[in-house]
Amino acid sequence: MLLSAILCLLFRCSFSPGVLLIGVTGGIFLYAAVYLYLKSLTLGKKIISWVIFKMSLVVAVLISVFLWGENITSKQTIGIMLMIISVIFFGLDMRTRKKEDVD
Amino acid sequence: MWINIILVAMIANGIALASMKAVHQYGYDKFIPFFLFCMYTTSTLISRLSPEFKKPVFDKKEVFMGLALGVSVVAGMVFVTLALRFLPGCVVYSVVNGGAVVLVSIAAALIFREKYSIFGILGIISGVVSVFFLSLK
Repeated sequence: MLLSAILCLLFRCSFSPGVLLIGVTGGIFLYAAVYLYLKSLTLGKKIISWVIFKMSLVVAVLISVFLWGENITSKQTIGIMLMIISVIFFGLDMRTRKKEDVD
Repeated sequence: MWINIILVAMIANGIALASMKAVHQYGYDKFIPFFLFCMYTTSTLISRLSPEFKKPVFDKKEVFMGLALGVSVVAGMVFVTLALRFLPGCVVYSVVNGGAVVLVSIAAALIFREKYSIFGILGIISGVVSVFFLSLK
């Protein structure tokens, strides 16, 4: 908060009610996301929680496509799919290495 | 139970990410610093009001680490919001969320000689190929 306030002062940011609304909404969801993520880390499986949390990129992409009508080319779709697969692979890697550490 | 919690966290994080795109989408590009200020102030105030809030104990090392982390997070957010002006959200979100994991893994392998399983290697390869595909039109 302090750093964003400094940034605001440096760039002499001006007030806008629309931006205030988007910012406050984003802040509420950001807090909820981090809070619930930390909660699930204490309650459930950490690696699965991490992988699912990283999948939030899918939600953001879906919002961009369906709400704002963003066009995605077939090559970009392959790219998004590969990135999702990559995150899943990293989750599997973490699990494998954790198992090896226990053994 | 926890799976429901993490699913809600995933959706909430996705909406928070999409709010950055909303700034550009509704023509508020010049208000990026104000948007970030509103977003972080709201999160800080909610966490301060939370019954689970504990008064922080200040430690020089932790303050320094926190500042370094804060600078990189805010700088990252500024550049993500700026990138959304020129690139489609699907490309930016994929590179920011997944690309960061791939980059950190490559850095850990090169700098700290961290060893990965076959899944980790596949993750790095698919991540790099993914960034290549995302950069194509």
